Amino acid sequence: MWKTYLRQIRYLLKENKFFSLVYILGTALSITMIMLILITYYINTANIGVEDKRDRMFFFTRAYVVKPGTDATGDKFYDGLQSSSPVGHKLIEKYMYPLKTPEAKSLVVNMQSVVYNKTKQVNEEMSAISTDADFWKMFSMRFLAGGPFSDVDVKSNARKVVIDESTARALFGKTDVVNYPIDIDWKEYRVCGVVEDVPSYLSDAYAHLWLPYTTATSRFFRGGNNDLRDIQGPAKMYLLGYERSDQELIRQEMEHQIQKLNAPAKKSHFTLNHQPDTALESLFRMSSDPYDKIYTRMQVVLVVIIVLLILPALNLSGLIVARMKKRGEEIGVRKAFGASVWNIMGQLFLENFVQMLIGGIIGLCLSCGLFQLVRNTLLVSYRTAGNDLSVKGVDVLNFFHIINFSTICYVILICFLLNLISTLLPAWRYARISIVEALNRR
Amino acid sequence: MFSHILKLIINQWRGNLWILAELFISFICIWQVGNVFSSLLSHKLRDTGFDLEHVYRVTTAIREKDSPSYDPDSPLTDDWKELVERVRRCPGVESVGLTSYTAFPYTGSTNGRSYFGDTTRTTALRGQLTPDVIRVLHITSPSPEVDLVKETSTGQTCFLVSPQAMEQLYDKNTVRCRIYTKDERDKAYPGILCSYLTNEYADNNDNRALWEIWSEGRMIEKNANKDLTMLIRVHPDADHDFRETFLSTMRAQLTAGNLSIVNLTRMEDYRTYILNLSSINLMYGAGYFLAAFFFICAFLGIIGTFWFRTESRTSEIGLRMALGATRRQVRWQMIGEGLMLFGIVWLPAVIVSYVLRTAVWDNETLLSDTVLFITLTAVTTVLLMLLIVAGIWIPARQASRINPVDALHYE
Repeated sequence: MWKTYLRQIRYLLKENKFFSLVYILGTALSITMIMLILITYYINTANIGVEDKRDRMFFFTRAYVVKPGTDATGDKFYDGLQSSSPVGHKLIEKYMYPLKTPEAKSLVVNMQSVVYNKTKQVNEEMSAISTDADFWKMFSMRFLAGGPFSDVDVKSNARKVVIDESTARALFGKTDVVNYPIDIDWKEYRVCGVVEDVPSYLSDAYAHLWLPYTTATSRFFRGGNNDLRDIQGPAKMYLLGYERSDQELIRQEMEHQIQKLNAPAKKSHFTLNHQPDTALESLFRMSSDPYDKIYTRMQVVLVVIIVLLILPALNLSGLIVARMKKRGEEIGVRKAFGASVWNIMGQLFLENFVQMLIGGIIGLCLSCGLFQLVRNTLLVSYRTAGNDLSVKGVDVLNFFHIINFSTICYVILICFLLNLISTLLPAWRYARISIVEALNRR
Repeated sequence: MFSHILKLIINQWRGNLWILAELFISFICIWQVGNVFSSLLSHKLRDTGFDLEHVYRVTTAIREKDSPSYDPDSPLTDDWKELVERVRRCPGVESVGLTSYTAFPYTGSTNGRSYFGDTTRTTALRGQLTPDVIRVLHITSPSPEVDLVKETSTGQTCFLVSPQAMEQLYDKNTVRCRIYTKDERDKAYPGILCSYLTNEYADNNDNRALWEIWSEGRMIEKNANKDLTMLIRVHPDADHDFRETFLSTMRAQLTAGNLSIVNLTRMEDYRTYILNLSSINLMYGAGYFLAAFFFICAFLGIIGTFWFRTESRTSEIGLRMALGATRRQVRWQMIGEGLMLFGIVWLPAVIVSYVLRTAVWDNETLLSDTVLFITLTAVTTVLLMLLIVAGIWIPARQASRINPVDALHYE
């Protein structure tokens, strides 16, 4: 039976080449568009490369200062908002480090450090992350030599640094460089570990140097200048839950801590504005908006996806109807020999699904190539600001980070939905036609 | 012919509803995409009053007190003066200017304050530039008689006033004026009209700016500890691998006291980065994609519908040909039907587009509203007509190839 179907599909594809071409390209177009959005989503939120715990990672990235009693939703938020900035390291140290719900909690500052290259005898600007020991629990970096710095190192201001492979090669010509001295921001550090390069599109972990935040240059840690100066600064915080569902528990515990912070009545209050965010939520968080805007933005993207799905599907369904008209007798004959409505509908579905899959594969390849071309436009966002992407741009994406089990599943799912929308109505209409009428069409 | 086609359309009104809806929606969608484009284009073509070609931003880093090699005897002001002089002497460098972090192109600063005219007040973006920045960025004035470099190089503090700020303080034709600051209400500084906008995509409020011109000495005295930015213009002949050449030839001179040059960024690259960061490039890209997408969807729809119709009207076509119609006439009749359908839907679509003209995108264009509306409508109409002709041509050609005998055989 299946063989017959497949043979028939091959025949159909050959019979009207132009029709097949238009049909397949129409599908490919729709799938390319949707896949560009879904790959952006995937690169930013899926467990890929060293960022393999994103599904249970949460982000606390912004400190919002508001008038006391400000409602955190809707337009009232704008009236009450006094300022919004990244988070101060003292707020994290004092109120967030004591959190008990998360498995790990890490303070992170993205910055540009100056590294002295002895071979070239020049100072070079490099992306660096100032952080603490928990950072290494968040990400699965592969150490080529040595290991990470410890909590004791951070607390004792030990000048230890983890560098990536390409930096190690550029500075020392090899990777086995544990305990070698390295001049960062005109201070001598010792290399304690060398890790494999992190591609720049994995923006939460990406840097060339990782150093204890207690040793970083002091100008990064100037406070804000209002009466809550400790809560604003250069930092953000990553929190690792035991499970995805820990988000709400962590939020509650953080809210509890914030109450302590806000307790002395002041002109200004700090608000979490519904943080911490999941990776997806943090993608949609803008600097000074109330948190419900995150979901509004997500809905807009969802509507765009639905439009991208439905518009071509409806148009393709026009093409299918045109072809069904021609195949009336065939359906009649099949029914006369005992095929049920479901048999016929199943066959029509399969026929179109196979054509769509061809379009889907073309679409996936197109979107893969296209994504590489427009990766700077799609992946440079405020989330990556502070990295050295201004000059270099986003690294070329690893092939398997674009084409893999998940993205192929997305394509199959989209093809299925497209097929369902475009074939259902014509198939239902023609499969129920009576035998006599179908045979009598011509 | 005309009334004949109209009759045909009315007779099959049910089948035509779908294509009418299709054309209606396509028209509105393509019109809206055009609207977004024209807005972006009008911003892109805006006179920003500066030129980024061959301009580099010099990144510097300061050695902090916690570094063992910090030199307490070398004040940062001296370091800056020394470094600026060294860069000025570097072969290939045409001019060197200093700006505050808030005043160079694409900085995205929203740092503003109040300024006063004789009787008026405005809130405008602020920032400081040295007169040499005018040389580096080729900053121009809308008024041709003004020589900005000459007028600002007197060593006295003065202001460059953007047209939007000038309009609020005096009127937009004023070229030279008096500016008072919040702290010194009784001291008048000279103000000169300039075209300098830090970002062509900023909306009109963000184009209100007063740039303070400080002498180099004053700039270094006041801003050395803050984010002072060095911009350089390179001679076009020297601008090949300039970054590498500069960093290697200047290698021994990149550090003065506690201040070091650590990088050089082409300002055009920085611009691309900022346009990516602020999603302007994303909007352009999405615009191109959506325009193409609506087009292809409309194309698919028109092909599909006409395919269906020619398929079910084969006998009619055969009859026409048997009665003497040529293939050409049959094809043109079909295309005529398509265009006539478009004609029916055209006016309602134009009206809806007019009503929705600001719904998706509030266009702040340089063209007046009417001119823009007529242009967009004309372009959309022509594009859709071409699409209809292309979409109908293929099924109509196939149908007209039928042998009249075969077609009549159906009846």
